[in-house]
Amino acid sequence: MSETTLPSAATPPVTPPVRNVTLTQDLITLTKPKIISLLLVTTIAPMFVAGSPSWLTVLWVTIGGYLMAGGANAVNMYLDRDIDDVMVRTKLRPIPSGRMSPRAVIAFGVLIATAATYGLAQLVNVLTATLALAGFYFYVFIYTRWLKRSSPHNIVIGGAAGAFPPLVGWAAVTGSLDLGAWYLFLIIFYWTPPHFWALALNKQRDYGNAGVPMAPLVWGERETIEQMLWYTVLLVALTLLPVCFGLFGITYAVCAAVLGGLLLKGVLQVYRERNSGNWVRASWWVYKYSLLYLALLFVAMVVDRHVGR
Amino acid sequence: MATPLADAFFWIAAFAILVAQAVILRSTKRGMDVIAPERSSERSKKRSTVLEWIFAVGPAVGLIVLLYFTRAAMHPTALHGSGIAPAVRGPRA
Repeated sequence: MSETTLPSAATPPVTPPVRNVTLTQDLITLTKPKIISLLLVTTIAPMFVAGSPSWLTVLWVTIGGYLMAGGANAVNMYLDRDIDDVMVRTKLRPIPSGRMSPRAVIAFGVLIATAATYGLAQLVNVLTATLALAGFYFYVFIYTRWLKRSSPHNIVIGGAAGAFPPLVGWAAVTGSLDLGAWYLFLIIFYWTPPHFWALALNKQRDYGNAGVPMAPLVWGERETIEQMLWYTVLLVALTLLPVCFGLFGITYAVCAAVLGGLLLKGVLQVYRERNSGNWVRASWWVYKYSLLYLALLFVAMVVDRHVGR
Repeated sequence: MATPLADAFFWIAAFAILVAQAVILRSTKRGMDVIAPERSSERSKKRSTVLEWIFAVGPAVGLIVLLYFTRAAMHPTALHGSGIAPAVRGPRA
């Protein structure tokens, strides 16, 4: 695709502290467990929205989901090993720090993703395994390999990879996909841009050094902040629509409105400060709150379906 | 939710979504205008512009399809045998 020119920025002379790390710790690091914890919330909650799964099914999907996402993350670390070395927040990862060889990392990633595919197909159903594998391929090839370094739309389209978990959870319970499942997919899809751009606004130097054309570097901060606002408006409206056709009731509607209102308030704060440049604190708040927002929104879905409407 | 209220709710949300999506597309165009002069060749410029537009318009098309099926699920008789309704009435604990 394009050869986007990024503003150059000098690498700050920051060297993160070195610590003793075991192989087990490195293997866990390769799976990016903090990120997976949110992915698992967005996998398991839809299972309880779609129906009443057995605890064994929940267990298999949790294990399979962790291994598949972990495999994708490990392959991502293999493919991004060159830029991980120049970004402050990633230079302590197993490959750039020299603790693991690239070949071992990709072997580990492919191995656990293969195990996940086989396990989900055998113990849950083939559609679940297929969707999980599709998420893996999307993340590795569409996002990491193609879009991440070539387009400011990288996390918009690439965000679809993170939106696969609800489809996986839904399919595990119903064996099919329908309107409710696609709503959950799109909620995560439209949540992704404001979430990641809030981070990108504060990590422009890192992304610039690595040559990753994140929106603030390519389109500029003002344009990115304006898009964050409208993506958030769209997201909040989207989260309320399932109430219209009876997927969720009043409990969810109130939770979605309150949680979405808080997110919108945070993004508006960033928007108001877009000209002054004093949006650093507000955008960090949006980044952190959006994580909580997504988790609580999915919990509200389950509570609404199983406790009260 | 009562149907008239649900209908009103639907149209308000749909309006907000369409306006937001339109502004996003306009903003995307502005963003592309900024980076267009930096492309190395005419061919590269044209190809990347087309791709960026696909990336921008694709989700918008998906949203319109979603709104159509949402409307159909709200008024199932209007879309007989669409297969949407059973999932919407999914089991509860």
